[in-house]
Amino acid sequence: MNHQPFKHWILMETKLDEEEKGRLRDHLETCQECRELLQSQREISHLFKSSPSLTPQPGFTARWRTRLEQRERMQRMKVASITLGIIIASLLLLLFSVGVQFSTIRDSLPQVLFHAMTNAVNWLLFIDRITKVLEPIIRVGVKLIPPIWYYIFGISLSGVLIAWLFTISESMVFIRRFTNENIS
Amino acid sequence: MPKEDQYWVTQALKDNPDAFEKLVDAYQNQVFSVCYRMLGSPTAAEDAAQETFIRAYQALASYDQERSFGTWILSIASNYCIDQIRKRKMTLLSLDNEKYAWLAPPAQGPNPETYTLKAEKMKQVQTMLGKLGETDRAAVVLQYWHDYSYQEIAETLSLTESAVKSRLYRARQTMAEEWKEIQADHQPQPSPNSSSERIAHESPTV
Repeated sequence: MNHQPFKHWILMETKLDEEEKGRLRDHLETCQECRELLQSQREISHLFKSSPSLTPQPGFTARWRTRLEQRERMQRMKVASITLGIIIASLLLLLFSVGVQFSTIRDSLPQVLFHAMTNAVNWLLFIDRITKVLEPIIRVGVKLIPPIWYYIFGISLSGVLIAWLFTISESMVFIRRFTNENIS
Repeated sequence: MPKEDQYWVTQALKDNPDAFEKLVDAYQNQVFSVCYRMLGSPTAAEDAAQETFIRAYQALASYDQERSFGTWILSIASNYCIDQIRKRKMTLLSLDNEKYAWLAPPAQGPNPETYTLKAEKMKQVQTMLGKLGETDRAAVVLQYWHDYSYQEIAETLSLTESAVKSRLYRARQTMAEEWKEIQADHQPQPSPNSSSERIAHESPTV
């Protein structure tokens, strides 16, 4: 027996017009399978609608708030741990490279200090020489650059400085909050 | 979206969890109900409902205020539950466990028969839902318990309307088959030895 479109109508809960309703009625009289399908749909729908609704245990919102705070604390700790890890790794790297440098020096301490001072003096002489070379170029450049560029440069530098100070203050607030939370 | 919801959403967007608590109060039952029907376990439902609200709070900046808050939060809940089912391949738990007695429907009176009947009903519902795929299950839950239209279900589950229709068609077919089996299990089956057993009981001992 052909069950279409009746099966489709039943399963899709289609709204039927009078003519279609008549056709379905006629079909149901002769088709037990579709009759059972319609009956089961009605029973399931009734079962679902009549099944008791569930509510969470009292205090759901308070539990949510606690969980949210825990989650946010964990996220902050994660950020702080990563930052701390990077700082420690950098320090270790620095110490390691300094250690390597020192391990290669076999001289006594006065000799090491003498080498360090010689290097520092050499660096200063190098900077002095570079300045002497660049000085005439800078002098000419200063005359060529229009005054407006000085203003632009000054404003940009101030902007960078303000952004830098803002970042530092935000970091300080974060560190203070993090420290307070951990202490409390 | 109701004006009250809109007001609390605006306040919550100002990084105010107190305002968001009002929304948690208003929608906790709906969200919990979806999670319970989807996951079948009260503890998993509590966990999923909590997680839904945390995700919603953290993603509030991306919430389109033209959309209903209810639809949005149920969409987060449904998708979270779908992911959980996929991840854990959860098996439905029985409700008879006394540990979850607090979750049982409010009793009409101190009648154990009423409680047993309701628990049985819930078990049947969960058994039928358990036979469905996770997305089909979400569509059924939203349609039967939240009276969502095809369009709303499509919006909630990020599907097309025709996909929702075909999923519901398939789901109803599966549930009808399962219902038939449940009914068959509940019908008393005549034992072939019952008459001889009765005779044996009734017959005097020698």
